[in-house]
Amino acid sequence: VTPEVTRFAARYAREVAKEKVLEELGALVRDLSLSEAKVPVPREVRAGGEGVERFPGEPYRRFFAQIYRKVSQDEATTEELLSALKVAEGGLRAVGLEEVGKSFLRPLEARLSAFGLELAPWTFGRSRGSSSWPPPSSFAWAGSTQTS
Amino acid sequence: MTEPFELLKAEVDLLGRLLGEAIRRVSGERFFALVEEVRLLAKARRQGDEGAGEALWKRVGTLSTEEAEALVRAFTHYFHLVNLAEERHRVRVNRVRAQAETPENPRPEGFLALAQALKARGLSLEEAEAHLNRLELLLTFTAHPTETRRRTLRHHLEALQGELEEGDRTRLYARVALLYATEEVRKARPSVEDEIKGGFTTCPPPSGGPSPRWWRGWRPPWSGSTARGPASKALSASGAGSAGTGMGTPS
Repeated sequence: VTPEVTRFAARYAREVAKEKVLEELGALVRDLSLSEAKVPVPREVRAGGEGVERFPGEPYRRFFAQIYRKVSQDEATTEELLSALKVAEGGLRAVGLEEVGKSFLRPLEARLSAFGLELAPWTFGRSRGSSSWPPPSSFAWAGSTQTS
Repeated sequence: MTEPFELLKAEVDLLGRLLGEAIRRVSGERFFALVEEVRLLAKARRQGDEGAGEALWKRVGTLSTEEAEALVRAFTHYFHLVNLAEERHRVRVNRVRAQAETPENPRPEGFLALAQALKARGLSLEEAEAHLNRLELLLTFTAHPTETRRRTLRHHLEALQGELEEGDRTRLYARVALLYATEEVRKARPSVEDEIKGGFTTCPPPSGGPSPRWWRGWRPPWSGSTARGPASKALSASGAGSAGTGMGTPS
């Protein structure tokens, strides 16, 4: 296994992870069509969707459309994504729709908590930032801590 | 035939209960009580109770425009769900009938019955196939105002189909709640592109010639014939009266 192969594997793993997350975020944009006229929406959800022109009156769709854009442009970390899911879940719970959070948000939350987007950090493949191996988050999913 | 009807009743009952729960949680107890009151009065009226009809008329007359609209929308969602259950029922009934079909007892609307009718008229296999090959089947989708639905609503209803099969009650409730919390009419007027997408959601572009499924059941009763099926032009084209005309989606 050469450094080139390792770099390729790291980059490829991240691309696949990103693709899967984008797929699930796309599904959330389709599914969470709750109307602001029918359910109260937390300020954070409303603010998070600012700048999205599509889906007027459907703040959860806007919120996840914005997250989709950020992930597709590598502007979001796993922690930011998880925090966004928590915000949306909290908003749904507050209006008695915890089942929506449980069925539609938690599966993605669980996958992100286990594998994240930084399983193979982007910076590692670009030879900038930390040069330690393995990168801290690589073993996070297995419950171990940094080994070297 | 009893079993499919029992299943239909069970699905209508389940979906109605889930919608009731969604109404209660999203719109509150007061509105849910109104929906229940109107539903029970309408049911009693339907069963011949004239007093219930008068009470219903009076009750509806006291509603504000906003309440009346919310009530109508709640019942519209209910009928979307009932229609879904009925569509599933039709599929089940057709499956049962297809499984029960035999050469001696063909389904009246099937190709086997058609082949037998053509043979009974004295046509040879070649003549029957030549006749069928002249047929052109044109599916036309029109913008019927009572059937217009947002693509988002159709998405939820389609997803609900699969979720009914899976039977996960939490997920089912979540989907029904999403359906109820979705505006029935989109806020922005759809663009022509939106309507084209909507059309393709209903009827995806064909990827080839006529599907062999159209000829399933074509088991010619002529001796020595094969079950290959006619090389028909059927379904060679389809027409759409909605895509791109600005007529197909409520604005």
